[in-house]
Amino acid sequence: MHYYHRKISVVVLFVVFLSSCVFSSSAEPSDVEAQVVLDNVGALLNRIYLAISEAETAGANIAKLKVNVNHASDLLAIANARFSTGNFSGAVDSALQANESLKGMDQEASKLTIAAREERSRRFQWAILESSIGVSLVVFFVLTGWIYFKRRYVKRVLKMKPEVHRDEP
Amino acid sequence: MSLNDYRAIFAAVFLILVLAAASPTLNLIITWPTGERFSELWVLGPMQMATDYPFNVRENEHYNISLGVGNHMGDLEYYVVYVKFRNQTEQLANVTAGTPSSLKALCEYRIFLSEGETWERSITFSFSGVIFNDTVCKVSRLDFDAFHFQLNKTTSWNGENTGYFFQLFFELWRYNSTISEFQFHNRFVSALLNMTRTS
Repeated sequence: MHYYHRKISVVVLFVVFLSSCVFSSSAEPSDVEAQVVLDNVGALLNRIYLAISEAETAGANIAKLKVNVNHASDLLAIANARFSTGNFSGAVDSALQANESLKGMDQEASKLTIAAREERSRRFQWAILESSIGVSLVVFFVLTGWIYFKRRYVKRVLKMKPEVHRDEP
Repeated sequence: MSLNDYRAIFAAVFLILVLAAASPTLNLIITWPTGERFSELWVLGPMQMATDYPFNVRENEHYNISLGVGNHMGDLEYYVVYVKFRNQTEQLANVTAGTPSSLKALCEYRIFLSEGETWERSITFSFSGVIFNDTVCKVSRLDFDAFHFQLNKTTSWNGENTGYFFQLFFELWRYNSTISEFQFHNRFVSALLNMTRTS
């Protein structure tokens, strides 16, 4: 689902940008066009954050993804700063660079999530196996030990000779 | 010791050993309690210490501060720090009411931080086009890192504290995945600046 959302946003982004370059009288995008591009990249970044967050919750190592996504977020911040200074073409350039560096990251995050979940499931199965064996061994040895100890204890008690004390008048 | 005493000792040892043997599974099932969840936001002076903050500022001089964010929310967080600039009468964020300043952000920092991670950045800023007119000071331009912002912001002489005060402040916002929006995270830090005349 995320993949199709992303595809659509990328298509919208490029259509807006190309149409601004081709059909408008100047190559400079308008503030509205630049805002659309910035919003789309912002929305894409939000979706990728959710995908990476999911991967991290599943137990995946997201260090590499985070480096890329932080780079893209820096570019988007630059794009927004350029936008607020009125440099709309610069803003679109930076936003498109951010979009480029986010390419394939949602799929990568999804792959990591699936791999982490499989690993977690495997670890869980191993843990159950280890615990079952451990508990069985404990039950066996403690019960055997108790039975052995009890027998020895009873034997020891039976071997005991009663001591007779004479009552002093 | 009687047989019942020995039975109690065996039962206790049995219980401890069973728990130890089951610990690999218990570790995966039980969620241990975590501490308080919070985010940090700080601004430091040029030496990355809570001292020597720029206060008396002048036109065309460069000033350094350090901005930092720390994540102790337990998970990966997506933060935005909005950079805003105000005079004495404009609205500041209200932590009690949990509302951000209504001023438009000049620029922003977007940060992805895992639990326990911190982010810090050194910031350089300067002012130009500063005009003093009777009891009013007007600042035309703020250079903030590599960006140049046209401000045209004025402030009046503050007789009580003797200065022309402006405030550069940073608001921390956090992405709320439930509502798919950034929300003010109820934290802001600021640098109070007194604009002075160039001698």
